[in-house]
Amino acid sequence: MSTAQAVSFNCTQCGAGLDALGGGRVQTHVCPYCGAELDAQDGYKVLARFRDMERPETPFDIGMTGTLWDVPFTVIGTIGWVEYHAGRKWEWVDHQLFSPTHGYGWLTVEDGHVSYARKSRRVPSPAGVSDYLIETSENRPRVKLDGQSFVYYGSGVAKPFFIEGEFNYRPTLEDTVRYVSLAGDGAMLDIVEGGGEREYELVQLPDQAALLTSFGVPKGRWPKPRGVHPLEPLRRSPLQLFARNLFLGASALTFVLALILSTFGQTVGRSDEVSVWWGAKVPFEITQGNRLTEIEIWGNADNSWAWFEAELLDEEDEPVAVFERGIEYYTGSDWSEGSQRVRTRLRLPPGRYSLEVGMTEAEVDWTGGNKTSRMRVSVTEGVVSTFWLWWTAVLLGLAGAVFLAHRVYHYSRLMSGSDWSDD
Amino acid sequence: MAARVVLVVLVAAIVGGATYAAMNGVWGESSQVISTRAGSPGGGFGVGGRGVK
Repeated sequence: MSTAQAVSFNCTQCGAGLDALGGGRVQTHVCPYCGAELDAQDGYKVLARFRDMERPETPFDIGMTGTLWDVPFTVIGTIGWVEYHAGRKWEWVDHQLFSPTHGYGWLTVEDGHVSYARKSRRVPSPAGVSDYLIETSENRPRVKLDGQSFVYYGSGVAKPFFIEGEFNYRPTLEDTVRYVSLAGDGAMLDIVEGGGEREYELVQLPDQAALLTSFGVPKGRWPKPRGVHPLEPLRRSPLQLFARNLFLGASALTFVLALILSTFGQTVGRSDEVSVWWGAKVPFEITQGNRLTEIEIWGNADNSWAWFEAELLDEEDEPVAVFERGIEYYTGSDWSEGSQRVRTRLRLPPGRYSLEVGMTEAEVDWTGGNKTSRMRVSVTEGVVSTFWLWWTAVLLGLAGAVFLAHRVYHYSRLMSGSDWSDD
Repeated sequence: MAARVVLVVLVAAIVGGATYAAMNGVWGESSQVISTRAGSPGGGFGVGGRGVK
């Protein structure tokens, strides 16, 4: 266990030997033996005496030293806090830290998580979040500090139940502190009000194992985290990130490929627009026998339907295939339904063909409609079935979206400990 | 590294398979078409590019 070099003195109340670890701005020193609060700025004169304090559970002892982001700190004080609300009780422990180069800070042990807080001299906008705003706001209140947004997480009123060690202010067991915690990206902002003052603290969550190891906390005393800390980072392996990028990239690539291939195809036969009484006859030649051939029939159906019969003949005028297809097209002032075109796909071996298409039935079954009177037929070879690619793009996109959903799920878990209610 | 290679091969196989199926019109024939050639089992055009009988 690491410990700091100290200046020693005797408690002016009980005579116990004490170490002064906290530098020149320490205001009070509470004796761990007798609970006397000593004035560190005035010859350790006794200011008050705290009795019958129940020691809180914490993995840190006064005098432990360690580093946070490569800055050496010493644990110089301990305050246990308690908050009661709606029949429930919350407890946490703050440890005042001192660094000869970086001044004072706090380690907070709550629900098995250890966070680090330091005072902020900058003032957020708005400067405070009132209880009235919390109660009446429809959405979580937000404040901004240095361009970063912090969203309401929790609030309450707490008081100390245990005080020991050195502090750069004068704590008492009679203190009450109102706090509002707001969560930001990688840091929380605590607005703390007490004794007529308002202070701002920025809270970060250091790497827990590195922190505890650095302060020399034996593994048997490591706290067991309960729940998720609101600053817990989303941990994903490099393989997960690689898979996410691969799936999303492949999805986008497949989407573009489908768009390009959907333009494939060569028109090999087309009729003029003719009267449906005559029908259409289209001779054509297929050269790409391994691809699909698409036959498109168009009719000028207008709030009506029509039925067509098609016969495909080879170059000996022998029938190869027949099919029947219908079109129906309806429109209103701001809507339309159906289509004036119908497409049929089939696979034809290379060769010369003749397609004969005629209308067999048509009817108007909507107000203001007109029977189909004109038609046109076209034949395209080398058509690509792009639905394979569309579905592949969707599936790969969904696979990538699972990782994005993981992020959303993680942030919803971070806020699960919040006392905010949308009601 | 091996896991990344497997993932890349898997995704490439999926996209390549889909492209092959799309280019060759697998399952792309319309079901309304009926082959009229003698000897046809009927039912139009099956999977695998058999074409019109």
